[in-house]
Amino acid sequence: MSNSISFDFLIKVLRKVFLFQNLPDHLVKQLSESITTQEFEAGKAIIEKGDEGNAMFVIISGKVKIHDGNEVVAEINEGNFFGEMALLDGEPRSMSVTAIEHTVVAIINRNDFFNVLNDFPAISKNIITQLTRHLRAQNDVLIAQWRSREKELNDLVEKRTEELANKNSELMLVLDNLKLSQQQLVQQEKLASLGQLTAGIAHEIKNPLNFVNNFSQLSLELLEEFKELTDETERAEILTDLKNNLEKINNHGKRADSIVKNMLNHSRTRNDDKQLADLNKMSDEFLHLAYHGMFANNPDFSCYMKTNFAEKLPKVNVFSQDISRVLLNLFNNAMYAVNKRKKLGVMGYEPSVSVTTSTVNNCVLIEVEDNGTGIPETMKDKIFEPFFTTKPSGEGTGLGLSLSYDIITQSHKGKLSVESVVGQYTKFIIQIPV
Amino acid sequence: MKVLIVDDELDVEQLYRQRFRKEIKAGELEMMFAFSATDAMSVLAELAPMDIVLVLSDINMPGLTGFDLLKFTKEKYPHLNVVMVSAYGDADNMNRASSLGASGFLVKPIDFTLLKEKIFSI
Repeated sequence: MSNSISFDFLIKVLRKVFLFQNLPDHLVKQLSESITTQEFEAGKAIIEKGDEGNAMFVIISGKVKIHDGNEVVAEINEGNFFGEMALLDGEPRSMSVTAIEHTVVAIINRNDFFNVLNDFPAISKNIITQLTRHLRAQNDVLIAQWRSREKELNDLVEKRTEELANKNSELMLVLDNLKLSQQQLVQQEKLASLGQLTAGIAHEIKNPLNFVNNFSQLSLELLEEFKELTDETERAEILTDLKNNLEKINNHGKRADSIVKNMLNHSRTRNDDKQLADLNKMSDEFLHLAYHGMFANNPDFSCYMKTNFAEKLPKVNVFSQDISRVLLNLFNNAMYAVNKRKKLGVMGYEPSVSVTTSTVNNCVLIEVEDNGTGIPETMKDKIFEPFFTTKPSGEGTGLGLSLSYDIITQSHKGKLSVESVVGQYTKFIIQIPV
Repeated sequence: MKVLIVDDELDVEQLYRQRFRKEIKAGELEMMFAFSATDAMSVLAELAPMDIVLVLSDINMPGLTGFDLLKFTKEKYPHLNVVMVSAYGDADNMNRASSLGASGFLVKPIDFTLLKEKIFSI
């Protein structure tokens, strides 16, 4: 035993310890003789979790905390003991014990403890009672911890749920704004392409109207002539001419009508119904509209236009104004590309844009090919992305192909793909299921 | 008198033939038609003797334009009169036509009385 503590004092202390309450005097003495004492400053560890448990401790003076990391299970002071559990089960220490203030402990090592236990088995009851107390206390602490954690967790869940709900409504707002912006952008793109078209449309309407005017005026003159004539052969000739003229008037009137319809269709907000459409006719009309639109904005522009239309192309159910936008966009791009290449000024270059239709595997294919500048491999992935444009700022919205892609793949469950070799050609392939 | 009309609209043939019915019937005028600048070039090349007096060409045609044809004609057959026709009567087009040697510029819709005068003044 340590020198600083008297033997009698130690016996007094041990007597107070619940564990040794009814131990006979000689055994208390025997135990006291084998005991060593040790002092710990505040904050010093007496037991570390995981240590081998080969002794138990009785607090002679001071105060300690029993803890697992930062989690304090209990604080105990003089007259109490700790460390008996590891002693009994031989397992490593399950908790750490640290002095809270200056503390003196009596150390009872394993052999001495078991000797006492052998000589006086009655203290087993004390040990069990004590263990039960410890376990209960520990249990209570754990339950309390668990409850408070559960509450914390519930509060956290509630808080997070609220935050999420807030975020969600913010996002809904953002989404609404985005939808609005998207609609505006789509409208802008429509207007931009319509603006580009205006000149083409004017030209395309003016031409048939000129024919209508000319042929009707001529017919009036022919009628006047007819009235004067008596010769039957001459009269028959005039009647044939008149019939031809009326047919021309009718054809050109229809042509102008169809162009105006297309134009209105193109700018109108989409109606919800798909309609059966003749894609050959639409391709042809928009090819010419695009051509005249390009020409009107660019008097030097010209290109060969080739059409290879499949004769028995089935009509397809489509949102016709959407498809017309796709066609117009592809034709505009093609003509832009051939014009760009033409401006390089290579001798013998013949700008050409062609459109070919066919039926493959129950799908209608529209191929728009140009022999313009081509698309570099590195750009092929990007051209369908919104706002991607290679045109000088202000010339393109960067939405044409991305909208076209959405129209074909989403609204029509089709495919839009591209093949291109720089300096040779570009081919866009629209595939729409019949 | 022989005139070559160049336009990508096929119906111009019937229109012109009727407009100039009387003159054609009376043998005062003969009309030929070409529906692209390239067509017109081969028509001109195949003509012998070159008895055409006037080429009347649209400007805006797919492929080679009326300006290409004008340039070609003036280089190869400088004596030929070329009158340009366009739906766009802007100064740019007109100046360009006259600098390339066109002897006239008509804006669509064509005033046929004026065209007749032009043809018979040659």
